[in-house]
Amino acid sequence: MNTDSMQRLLTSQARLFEHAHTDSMELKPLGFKIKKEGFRLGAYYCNPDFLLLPFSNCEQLAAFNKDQKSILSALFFAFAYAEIASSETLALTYNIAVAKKIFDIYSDEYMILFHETAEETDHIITFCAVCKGILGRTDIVGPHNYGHLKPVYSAFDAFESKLCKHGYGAMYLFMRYLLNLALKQLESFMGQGVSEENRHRVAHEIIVGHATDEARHTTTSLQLGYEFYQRADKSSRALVKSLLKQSIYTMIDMRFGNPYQHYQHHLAKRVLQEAWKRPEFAESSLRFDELPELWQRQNLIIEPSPEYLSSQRWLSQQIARLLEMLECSLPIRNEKFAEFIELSNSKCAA
Amino acid sequence: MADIYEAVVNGIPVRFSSGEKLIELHDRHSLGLDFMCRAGACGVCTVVVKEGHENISERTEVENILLAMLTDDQSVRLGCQIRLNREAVIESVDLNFI
Repeated sequence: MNTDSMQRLLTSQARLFEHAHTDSMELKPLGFKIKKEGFRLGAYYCNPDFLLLPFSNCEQLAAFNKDQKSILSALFFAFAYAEIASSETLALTYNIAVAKKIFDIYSDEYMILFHETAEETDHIITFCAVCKGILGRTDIVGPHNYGHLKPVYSAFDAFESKLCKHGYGAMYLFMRYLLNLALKQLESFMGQGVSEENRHRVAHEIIVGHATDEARHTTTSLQLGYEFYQRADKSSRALVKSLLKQSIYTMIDMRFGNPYQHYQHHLAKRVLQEAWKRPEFAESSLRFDELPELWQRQNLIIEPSPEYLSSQRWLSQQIARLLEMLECSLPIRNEKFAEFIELSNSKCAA
Repeated sequence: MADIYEAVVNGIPVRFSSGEKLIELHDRHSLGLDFMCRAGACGVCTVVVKEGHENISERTEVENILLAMLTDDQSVRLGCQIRLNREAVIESVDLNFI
């Protein structure tokens, strides 16, 4: 395998990896700081308004004070990274399995995925420490806790015997790309809009440091995935395309249209439920489980934050790029797809 | 209070505080730029600085690594890496990295 684009990927990824680790960019020390410090009231670990909840329309939520918002931000930060660590667990197994299948062991090409696996291990240790510090537990990390990761595992195992080796590599890396997008939709936007004096410094460093590693991983997923895809036989390409179309439909279904149906809303509700157990929320006149009923009864609209809207626009453009690379179009099925198409085409100032 | 300036990005005028990142301006105002990895690894967000080079942050090491493989033109930058200090005119350029 020695095309120009492959050579460019090899060179750039190796140089960027060495640059990132010359002045150590390990995240573990930052995770251990949060574990030791525990939870710090008042600081924002991410932007609490990023949570997809009816903040401005619900009386109870609109009345949250800064400490309560700080708790929401810390819990969201921990839940987000628990999920990210769980999705990274996939890479520990399959990066090496795919690299072994296609490349000579410890060749330059093999080392791209090997380096990334080493980084994923660092990330998972870091995020377990974050969860321990903020939530007091690490058992929410692990792919078994996230229903949407199960079909990904199933696909990797079920399709192995049906795909040629490059097809298998393409399927894995494109699915990994979709997971990269999902995590970047959280990470790249959840910290935006928080002023320097309000933000939790270590949490911010984790966001920036991890995003730098993941930028390389996301690039590998797309570029190497496409390289493999081009080398796959015709039937494998058709199978990969069909699986991706289905996965993209699911992704659009979970992230566009009515905000109450978004995956991010369900995540925000888990955060709120956890917050409700804390003494700072004890004086609320409602139980946690009464809130969603109230929102529904009063027909309260969720007005997503500007940061959340930016994240949707960015995501839609990445999905559109992948579809274009695969020469694949998705017919509009419902209002969610219409919104996806509109956002992916948005190019001008709002 | 930070000084406010105006840049023109892909023909769209946008006001900013000195030192703001171009990527954050794009996220807020949708300036027709294209960002994929968002942190200097993919090369999708290449732009050309048409005017005001001196008003933009210096090239980062990450930019040097990536752009060395693409072009000798020093006016080409990675949109995700640059900060705007004062007025500038910037346009997207597609170097087909991906």
